[in-house]
Amino acid sequence: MATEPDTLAGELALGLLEGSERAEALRRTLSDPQFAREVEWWRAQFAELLPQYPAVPAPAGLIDDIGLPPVRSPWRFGRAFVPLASAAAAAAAVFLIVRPSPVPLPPVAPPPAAPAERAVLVAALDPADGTGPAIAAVFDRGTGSIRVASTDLAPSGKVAELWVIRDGVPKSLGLLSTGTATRLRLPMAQRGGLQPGSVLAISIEPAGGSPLPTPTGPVVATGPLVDA
Amino acid sequence: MIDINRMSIVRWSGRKVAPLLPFHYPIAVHDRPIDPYDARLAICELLDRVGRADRDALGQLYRLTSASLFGICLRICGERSGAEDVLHEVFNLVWKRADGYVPGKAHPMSWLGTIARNRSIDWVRAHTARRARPLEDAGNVADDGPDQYAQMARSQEAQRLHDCLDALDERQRDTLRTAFFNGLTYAQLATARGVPEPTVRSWARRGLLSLKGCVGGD
Repeated sequence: MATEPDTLAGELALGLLEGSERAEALRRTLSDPQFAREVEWWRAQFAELLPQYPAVPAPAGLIDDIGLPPVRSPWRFGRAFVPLASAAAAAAAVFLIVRPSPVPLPPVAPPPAAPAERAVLVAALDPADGTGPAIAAVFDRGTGSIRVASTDLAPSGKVAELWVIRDGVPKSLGLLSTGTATRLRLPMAQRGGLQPGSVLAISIEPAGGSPLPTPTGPVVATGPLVDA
Repeated sequence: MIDINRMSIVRWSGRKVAPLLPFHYPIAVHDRPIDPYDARLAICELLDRVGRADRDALGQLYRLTSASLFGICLRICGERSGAEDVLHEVFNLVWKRADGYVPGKAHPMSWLGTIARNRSIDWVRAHTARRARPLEDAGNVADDGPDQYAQMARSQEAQRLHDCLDALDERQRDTLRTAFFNGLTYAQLATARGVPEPTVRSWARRGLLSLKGCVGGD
């Protein structure tokens, strides 16, 4: 089932691929800039067709909660407030510096998961060379942290870096420890990018991590996030 | 070319929205037609304000664009509650990352529409228990006649893509359009059309090759 390289970018942009085929194509957007440009070209082409979707009135009030602090019960507030007060103050300070908001910040950082969302997403990152066991990753939406099982991927002097790829665009999640499991607590802004179907990838980078917003070294393992 | 769904952190507040191309997009407004150029400017300005955490602007953006975007979500998700979840996610993303939109490169509705389509496809892929949907409703869009949007002025690029699609073999065109509008995978297309998957793959690849030669080749 060899895929013609000439059309793989279009097949990915169109959404025809799934499973390992899609993961492989996404992996290639990381390692092959020309391929990534082709995917972008196809996306822009197909976007010309978007106006042909028939419009359907959307429900009013659907987005009323966006941008507002989550509502909390007094009990929960009281329980969480004491131990987290200083951390919340620090978080609030950072938040206000990064992005001034017209609404007061809730005192507790992790928002409750929406009812429809599973609390935990998992991924099995398959080695790109097809050898060795898959690497397990678990993302806990409640705490906003991702745990990646112990790996020995990075040779001496190099470091393994974890990425999430959505729509072909990689975002660094952090560096992985060598020889021990890694737990990364993700900033709020990054958590929304981890959804079922998002692809996790590990690349090998110089010490300190990739100097660029994208991986510079080989991508050694990839796998999609799915509901646990 | 840029990835119109790329949400890189490129602030554009303060930058002029000058390099606007004459791109026309039908904005669904209930009672009055809206000039496409004005609509584009309005959406750009709203995105700029949303990027600065202006909730009123988010509400206005929703009123202006949600029908177009909900149409995309509903068709691909195939069910109303799922489409509403996705639309909420789209606006949540826009709220957090409206500053990722770079005006002048892609039409803001292309940017928003591509987000809606990709998020809808993610939703469908994540809900594997999705019921098989009859494809007759796909025909409404996939076989749209030339008169359906005749009143819609198209950009040069859009017109070229449509001309090139029209020039394709019918099965290739149907495969690409059905895949696009319904967000179907190869396996789902094969089931929908009652043909083996390699056949659908062949149609799609030949269609994509022809399309690339036609649109991209001078």
